[in-house]
Amino acid sequence: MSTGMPPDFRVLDERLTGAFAGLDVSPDFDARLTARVARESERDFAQRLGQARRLEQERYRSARRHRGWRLEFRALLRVFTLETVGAAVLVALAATTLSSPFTAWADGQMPGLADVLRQNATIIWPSLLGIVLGLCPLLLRRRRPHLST
Amino acid sequence: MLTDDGVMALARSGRRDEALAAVVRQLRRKVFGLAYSYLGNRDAAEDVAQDVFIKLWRALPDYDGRAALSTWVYAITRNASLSALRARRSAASLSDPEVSAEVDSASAVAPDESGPEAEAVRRLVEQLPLKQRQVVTLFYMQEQSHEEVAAMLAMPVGTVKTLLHRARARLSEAV
Repeated sequence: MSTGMPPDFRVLDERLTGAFAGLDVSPDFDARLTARVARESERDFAQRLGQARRLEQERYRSARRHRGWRLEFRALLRVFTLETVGAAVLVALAATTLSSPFTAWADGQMPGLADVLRQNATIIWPSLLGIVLGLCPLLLRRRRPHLST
Repeated sequence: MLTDDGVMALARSGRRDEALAAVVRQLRRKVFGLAYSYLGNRDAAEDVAQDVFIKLWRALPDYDGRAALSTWVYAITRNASLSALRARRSAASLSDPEVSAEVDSASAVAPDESGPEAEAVRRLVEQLPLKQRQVVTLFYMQEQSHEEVAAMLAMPVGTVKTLLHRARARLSEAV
């Protein structure tokens, strides 16, 4: 029967305190934790090392790709020198000038190739000389690439 | 005793192990008690406590001090304990009913050196609903502080008092 007074839990409190107050981790808890942390630390280090290696390899590959592309571009730019442009102009000029005599020869309107060459010698030989002179520096650079860098 | 800022400073300066050691010193028993209040088993609670501190060790460099360290640790412990509880239940449900009954009885209260009377009392507490069981366990483990128990279980102090009163009433009948 309820009396309206709060129940006295003193005995119960004592028994519960006796049951739970002494509960604690086992004595080797810290040692086991330290060992686990050491293992995790080693694993972490190995993972970080692996990640750093992968990142470095990726950087290296990317740098090589980038450098390769740049080198190609620079090599292409090096071809466009004053000499090669001059040689190209001469080739274009000679091709334009000689197109009609060679067409005539191909159509059988001119007797022979030697005649065509002889008749246009004033154009052909200076052009050839100009082309060779224009390409000489480029050919020399290709044979000695270290001079071009 | 190291403050939360002190722990944060240690962790950020690369002295994570020292920071963890300081936290373990301060919260070891509370973390173990909280896990025990869920699992009711000493070994399982120790395993959870170990997992909690390992998780904490991993996460310490990210601790920004916005919440109290203890609040953070208690949240990790509650989640880890619930996971362990779920894992234990699912493992028991997969096995033979007789085996699972045996697991339940074995895990309910682990005998220890505190004697048969303490064990009997703990068995009685095991019969209480989870929330009441947790409040009773933590209250008598943690020097009878309602505030501390409320912080550990993330519930209002008033709720802790109510749950404790109900649990005591039930237990006093049984005792």
